[in-house]
Amino acid sequence: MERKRDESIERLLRGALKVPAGADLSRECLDAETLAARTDGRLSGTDRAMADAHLSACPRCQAMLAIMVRTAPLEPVPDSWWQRTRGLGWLVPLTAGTAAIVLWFAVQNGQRPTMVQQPAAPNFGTEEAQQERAQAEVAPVAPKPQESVTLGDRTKPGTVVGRERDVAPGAEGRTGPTEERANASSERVGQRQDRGEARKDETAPAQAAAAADRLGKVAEAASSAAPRAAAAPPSAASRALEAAAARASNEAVTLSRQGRGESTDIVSPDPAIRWRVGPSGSIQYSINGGSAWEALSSGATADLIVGVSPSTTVCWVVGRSGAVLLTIDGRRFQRLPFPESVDLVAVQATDARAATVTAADGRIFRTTDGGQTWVQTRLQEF
Amino acid sequence: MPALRIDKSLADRLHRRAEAERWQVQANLFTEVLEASANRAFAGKSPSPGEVRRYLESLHLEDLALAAACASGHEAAWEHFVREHRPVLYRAADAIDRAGGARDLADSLYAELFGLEERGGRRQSLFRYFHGRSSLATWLRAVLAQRHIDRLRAGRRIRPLPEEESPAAIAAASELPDSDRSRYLSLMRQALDRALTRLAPRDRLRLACYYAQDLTLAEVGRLMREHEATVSRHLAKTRRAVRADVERQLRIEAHLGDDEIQQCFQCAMDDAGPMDLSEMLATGGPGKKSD
Repeated sequence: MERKRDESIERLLRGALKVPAGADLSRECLDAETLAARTDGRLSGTDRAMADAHLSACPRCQAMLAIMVRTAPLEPVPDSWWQRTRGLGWLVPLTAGTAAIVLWFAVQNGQRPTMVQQPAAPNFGTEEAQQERAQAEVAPVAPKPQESVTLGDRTKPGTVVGRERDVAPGAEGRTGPTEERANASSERVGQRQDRGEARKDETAPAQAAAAADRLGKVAEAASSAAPRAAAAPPSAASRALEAAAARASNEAVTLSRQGRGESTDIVSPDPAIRWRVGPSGSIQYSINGGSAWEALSSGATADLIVGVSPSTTVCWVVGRSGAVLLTIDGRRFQRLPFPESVDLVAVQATDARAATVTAADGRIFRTTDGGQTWVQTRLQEF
Repeated sequence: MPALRIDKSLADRLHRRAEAERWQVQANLFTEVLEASANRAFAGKSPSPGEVRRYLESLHLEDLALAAACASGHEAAWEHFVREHRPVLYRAADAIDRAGGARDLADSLYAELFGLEERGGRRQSLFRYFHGRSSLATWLRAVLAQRHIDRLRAGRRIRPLPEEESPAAIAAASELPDSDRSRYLSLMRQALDRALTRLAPRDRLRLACYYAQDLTLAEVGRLMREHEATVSRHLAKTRRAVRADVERQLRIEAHLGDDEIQQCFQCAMDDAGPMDLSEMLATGGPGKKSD
C-alpha cells in the first residue's frame, strides 16, 4: 500500500512542482550572470542560499538550471578519499613489502625506522649546516626522486598536495646567502630537528600508533613481495609505483609524521614558488625553488601537515586541531574558522574561495567562500 | 551606498594577471570593469578592502579582459572569442535541442554580444552583463538557457487547449461520484502544496529538478554536487516525508478516515492531470533582465 501511495505522490509531484510556489515570487528571477556563478560554484554562502531558495520555488529558473546541467561539459564526480585509494588496493602489499624492507634495514643498522626521508635542510653551503645535516641523516634506502602526492584522480599543476622533497644530492657545494643568514637558518634547522627529536619521545597520537601498527602487520603478511620491488633498479615505472604507493598510504604516513616533526613542501603551479609547513605552525616561503626560505608568520601553533596551491599566490594549509590557513598573496596567512577541532589530513582547492578538506576520521568539509563557512558533506555512497 | 573604488595598485596587478594588454584593454577601462563587477557583487553591502580584494582576485580575469575587449570592438579579441566560444555555444544549443532548433538562438546572440545596437553613440554589447564571477563559457550557456526558456514559455501561452475528447482532456473512469472525486483531489493537492512549502529549499529543489525538470539522477547529482546514489536516497526520503505529511493533514486537519484517505490517494493515481493550465498561465515571476 505504501508503494502505491508513493506512486500517487510522485504523480502529483510532477504537476505540483511545475507551478511557482507562492502566487507572487518576491524576488526577481535569477539573471544569467547569477545562474552562471552558481553553476561554477562562485556564489558566496549567503548568495547561494538565497539563489537556491528562489530556485526551489521558481519553475522558470529551475528550467534554466536544468539546461545548464544538460549542456555542461561532462566531468567525473570527484571521488571521496576512500574511493581514490580503493582502486590502488593491489599496491598495499607492495607498499607493505617495501616498508618491511625499510624496517629490516633500519633495524639491522640499529637506527630509527622512517617511512620518508628527512626534509632537506636549507643548504647555505656552510660547514656547520653540513655537519648538522650529516647528523640528522638516516641511511637512505634508495635514492628517491621528488615525489608528489595528490588527492585528486590525476596530478594537475597547482593541485599537488605536498611532499615535494628537495633531496638535491650533491648540492652541498652550492653557494648560499651570507654567513649570518646561513647561521641563523642553520639554527632554525637545528631547532626544528631538536623539536623533532623531543617530539619522538612524546606520546604519539593514537591514530599514528594505530597507523604504524597497521603498516607493520601488513608488512609481515606481504613480505614476499618486497624483495622484488626493493631490489629493482629505480625506473620510471618504479617511481610511478612509489608515487602511487605514497598516495595510498598518504594519510597513515601523514599521521605518523606528526610525531616526528617533519615538514611538507607545497609547490605552486610555478615550481619556483613554494611553501614549507611543519610543526608548531611553522611556514616558510621560497620564490626560487627552495634554494632559500623566508620564515612567515602563520598565526597558528598547531602542527601544519599538508597544503595545496592552486595558483602562485594562493595556498591553503591544514593541520591538527582544525587548523586551516589561507594566503592569497603568498606571504600573509590568515587562520580561518573551522567548525571542529579535528586533525585535518588533506586539502583540495581550485582557487581562493573553494576548497575541500578531509579530517583524519574521513569526514569531508567544503567551503565556497574562502573558508568563512564550511559544510560537512557526506561520504559518497553506492 | 557609494560606489566601490579599487586601489590603483590592486587594479594594476589584476590588469597584468588578466593579460589585458594582449587585447589592448587599457588599465583605466579594466578598472571600470572590475569596479562594475565589485559593485554588483557587493550591492547594498559594506565590504572590507580585504573582501573586495579577495573577490576581485577570484574572478575569471582573462575572460573579463576578453569580454571588455570584445565589447569595445577589438577585432582580434572578437575573432578569438568567436573561434574559441562558437563551438561551446553550438554544443550547448545542440544539447538543448538535438534537432538544431536552438542554433538560431546561439547565432542571434552574436549580434547582441558584438553590440550592433548603439545608444548615445556607445555600443550596447551584451558583454556588459558579464562580470567574471563565472567563466565566460558558463555565462554564455546561461544566456542561451535563458533565451531558450523564455522562448518556450512564450510559445506555450498560445498553444491551443486540448480538444474535449482528446486523451489529455478525458479523466480516468472512477467509481466515485464526481463531487467526491473532485473534493478528494482538491484535498490531496492542497495537502501536497502545504507539505512542499514545509520542505527545506534544497530538498524541494532536488524534487523539482527530478520530477518537474525530468533530470536524471546523475544530472541532479551534478547540480546538487552529490553522488547519484545520495540523490536517490534523498529523493526517497523526501518523498516519504511528503507522503507522511499529506497523510497527517488528511487525517488530522481534514478529519478523514483510513478509507477516505485511501480514496484520496487512489483519485490522485487515476487523475489524468491538470492539463498544464497552471504552467500555461504562470508568468514565472517579475520581469527579468535580458542578460
